[in-house]
Amino acid sequence: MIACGFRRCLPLLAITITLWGGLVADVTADMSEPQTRPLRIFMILWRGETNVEVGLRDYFNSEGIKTDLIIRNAERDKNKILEFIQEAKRIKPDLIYTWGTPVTLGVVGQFDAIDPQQHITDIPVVFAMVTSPEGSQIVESLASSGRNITGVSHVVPVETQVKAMLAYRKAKRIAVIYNPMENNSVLSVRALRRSAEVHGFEVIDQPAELDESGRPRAEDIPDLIDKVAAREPQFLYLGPDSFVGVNRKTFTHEAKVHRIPTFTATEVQLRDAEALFGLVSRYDSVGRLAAHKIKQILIDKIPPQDIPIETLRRFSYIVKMSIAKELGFYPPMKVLKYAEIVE
Amino acid sequence: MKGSYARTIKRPIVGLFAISLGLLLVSQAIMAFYAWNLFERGTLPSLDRKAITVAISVQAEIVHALDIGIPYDDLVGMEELFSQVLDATQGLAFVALTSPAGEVLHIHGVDRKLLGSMLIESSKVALTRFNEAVETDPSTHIVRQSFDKVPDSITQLAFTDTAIALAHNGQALGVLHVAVDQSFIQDRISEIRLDIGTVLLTSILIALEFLLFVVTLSLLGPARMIGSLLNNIASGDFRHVILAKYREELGCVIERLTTIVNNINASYVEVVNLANKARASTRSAAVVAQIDEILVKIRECGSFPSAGGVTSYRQPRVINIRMLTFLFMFAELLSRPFLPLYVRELVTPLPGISENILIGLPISAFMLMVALSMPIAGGWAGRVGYVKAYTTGAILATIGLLGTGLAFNLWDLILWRSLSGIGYATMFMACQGFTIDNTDEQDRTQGIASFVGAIMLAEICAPAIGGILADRVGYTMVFVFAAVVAMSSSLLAVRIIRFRTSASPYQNCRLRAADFGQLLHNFRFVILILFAAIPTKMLLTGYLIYLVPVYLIELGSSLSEIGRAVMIYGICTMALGPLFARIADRFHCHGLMVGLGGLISGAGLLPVMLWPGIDSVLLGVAAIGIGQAMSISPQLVLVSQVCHDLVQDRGHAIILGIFRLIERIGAALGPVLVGVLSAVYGFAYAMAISGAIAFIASLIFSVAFLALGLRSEDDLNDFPIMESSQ
Repeated sequence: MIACGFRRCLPLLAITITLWGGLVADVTADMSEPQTRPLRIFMILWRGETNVEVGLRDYFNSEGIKTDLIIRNAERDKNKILEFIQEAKRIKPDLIYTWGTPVTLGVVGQFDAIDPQQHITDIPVVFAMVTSPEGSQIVESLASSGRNITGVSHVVPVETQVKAMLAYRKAKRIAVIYNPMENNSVLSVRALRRSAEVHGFEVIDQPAELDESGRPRAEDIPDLIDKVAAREPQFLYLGPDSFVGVNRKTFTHEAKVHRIPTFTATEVQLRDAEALFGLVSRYDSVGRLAAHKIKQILIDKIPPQDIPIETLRRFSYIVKMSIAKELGFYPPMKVLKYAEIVE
Repeated sequence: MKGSYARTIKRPIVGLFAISLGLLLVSQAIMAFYAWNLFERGTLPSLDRKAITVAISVQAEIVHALDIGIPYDDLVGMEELFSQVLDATQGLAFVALTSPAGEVLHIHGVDRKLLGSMLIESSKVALTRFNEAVETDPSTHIVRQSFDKVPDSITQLAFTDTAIALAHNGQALGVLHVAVDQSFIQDRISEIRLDIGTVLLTSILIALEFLLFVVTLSLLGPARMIGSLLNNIASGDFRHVILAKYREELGCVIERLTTIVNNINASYVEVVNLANKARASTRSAAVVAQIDEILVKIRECGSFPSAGGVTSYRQPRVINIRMLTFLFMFAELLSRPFLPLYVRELVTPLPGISENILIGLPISAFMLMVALSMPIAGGWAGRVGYVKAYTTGAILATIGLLGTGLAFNLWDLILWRSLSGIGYATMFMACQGFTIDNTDEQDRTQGIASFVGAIMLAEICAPAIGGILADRVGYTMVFVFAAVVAMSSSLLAVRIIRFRTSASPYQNCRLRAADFGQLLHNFRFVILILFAAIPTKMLLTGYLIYLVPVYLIELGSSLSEIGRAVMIYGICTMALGPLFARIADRFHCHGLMVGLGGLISGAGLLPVMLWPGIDSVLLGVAAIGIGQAMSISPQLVLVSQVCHDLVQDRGHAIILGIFRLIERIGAALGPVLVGVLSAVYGFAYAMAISGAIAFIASLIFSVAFLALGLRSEDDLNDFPIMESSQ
């Protein structure tokens, strides 16, 4: 009975580990016509297959949807995207799936600068792993793209992230290091400051210094961490910033050396670096949600502009126990009720 | 000799009452016992089980933390975890984790200093039990230990500790303690006991009321009439019969007796006619003298009806009114413990006006409508007849109560309360007028006492029952129930008031503006009404009806408790009212009683300022009850004393009517006034301030009357003293 009480409290928390509750129930499934041939989906990936595609396939399998997936890997090269677009125009698949902001922008263009020669307009596009569909001007509004595309974002709202951080420990100062040239990062730092006013902490805001070509240098990272550490923040916040993402190992390691706990918004910082904890969208969940939107378009025949662009409603609170041990900075009992513990 | 017949009937009836009361008590006691057992079997063990469940679930969470590698000494957020547990589970005093030696490491719920060494023993036993245990089921390792309140200890902790060893990988690390709050259990126990007691008391009171009603109506009443008729026949008085119809044996007896009387009267008339005829046909003076002598002899044998025919005995009608009075008061007073709380649910904030003032409005609207419609309703009831007046009032009250229960917002609620007020006033005046009309000089006092008794009884029963009901079925259902009571009382009125009486002089008089003018020029009357009557009435409406419910709910009382608190007022007035009235009459100290009553009422409300809490509120309710009991009847006597000339000129009823009207308008201001006070100073201070105002007013009244003195105190005649409160 008591245990029930606790469980009942859990949904009240903005952050839970349940993976698939966020999906919209598919009420139109029974009304759609039976599938006669496999769906031809042309998938353009940025850096090869990830767990997103695992989730995607998993969804199609569990729904009994037959697919013919044509996979193209850009290997982080924007030039290759152009080749894939030409190929797609030639073979005319049922739908194009794009992974990440660069690929998506290459395939569909900014909403106010569409070139039918260069971009795909007549084939529906579903994108995934776009940090900020509005910020990167892929769509004007998340409610409707207004064109033949829809998609899934994976970013956890900053306010939700802040609450997750504060659930671990109260904080007076939270540091953030970011690339001032990245629009996404600037936006999320701004949102962080707004949350700081609500929750009463100070943001130690440290933009990376830029070289002559306007790029931040990886070798500056230890200095940046030193500067931040001098002001004794309780957490270092690692946002969805490419510069931070690429140099994740250096960032998280340096922070650990300075005994600053790191909080991240992306899963890879935990899996493939030394961040302490984070509130992230699971890649496979993102894939499932994208697959669901593909089904809505191809099987339920809902026009893409009628399908809103969404982020997950439930996120994973992940604590990396090995780092917690090294820092001697353990999660509180309350967090253990919903956190996923990884080594 | 007279009345012996009734006395013979009375004895078995007293026996009947005793037996019924005994049976009621026994059956109610069994019911109470049964209810208590259900509670004991249900609630108390469930709290213990809860404690065990909590202990095991917290234990599991800590073990999970240890499992994932958090060192025992580095557990973070234990207090927060414990506070979540306490929030989720009612009745727990604290949750604590101690070291194996019993030293408190983490605790939430009480200050660890207060516990001292209390947890050491249970910790040790829990560890021993864990170490010796063969079974792995954690619930078998639980240790329970109770701590009662130590009178002279500063801690004042009373709890039952449920202790369980906290172990990881087979090694005991500490002991987890979940304490069930004994005072919570005690509170629940005493609350249920009081609820059961209240139900017991009120149900017996109501049952006796009905028993009295039925017995008087169908047994004692006709028996008394038969007794009187037989006495009359025995003494040769054949002028009376019983015209009322009764069923079964008593009906047969009455019918036969009536036939006998009618036959005798018919024979008498025949004899007289024959004699007259014989007298007319003879010329002999001697015969005429003889006949006259015979007629005189016959007339000496008994009293016979004159040309108007026989007269019927008056039925004991006042008892009918007692039941009707009880029912309409009951319907209205059911909501007394929670009316302001109900209003609060409907109030939407208005810019610039405090919610507290808005809450007072529907209560004031009711009072104001009662005040304004009583003079009109009184005259109207006299004109159209009491049955019609009562049923009309009951229908209005029914609609008003239903509307109150289903109101959408504050504004339609005010409308519904006003309607209820008109209905209430109409029923009140119908019952009062009926009582006066159906009593004569000898039994009027008794009739009035019966009427007032019904009001008192409702004052006791209705709030208590209303509170208990509202706790269980909600406000709306209580209003629906009240509406049903009001409606059925109108049906009862149609069935039991089957006669139309002539309008009484009490109902015939109209208030005139000139009367107001004359009265307001009377300095003593103005002082009496301004410094005694209005302040005490305002306390009644402001404190008892408004502040007590809202303040008690703020202190965490249940609606049942509020109902019982309000009931204290009824008990005080019922128990002490007649006593004080007698004392005042005996020693002619009406002024003193009024002054003292006001002072007691006012002073009783002051302690809440220093000791905010339930006890102070109860003290205040009792003080108001005592104060009202002291001042209600003497106040009315004072009115006639200070307005002696005007009373002789215009009659009691007029002066009393004006006094009532002004006083009730004052009463209507009470809720709004305390609303303003509470908006500024909070409930407790609003209580104390209104008490202080009443106290000072009574002081002014007392000083003024000591200085001015009364007027012609000796030539007072008794006159009816109506109603208690409202």
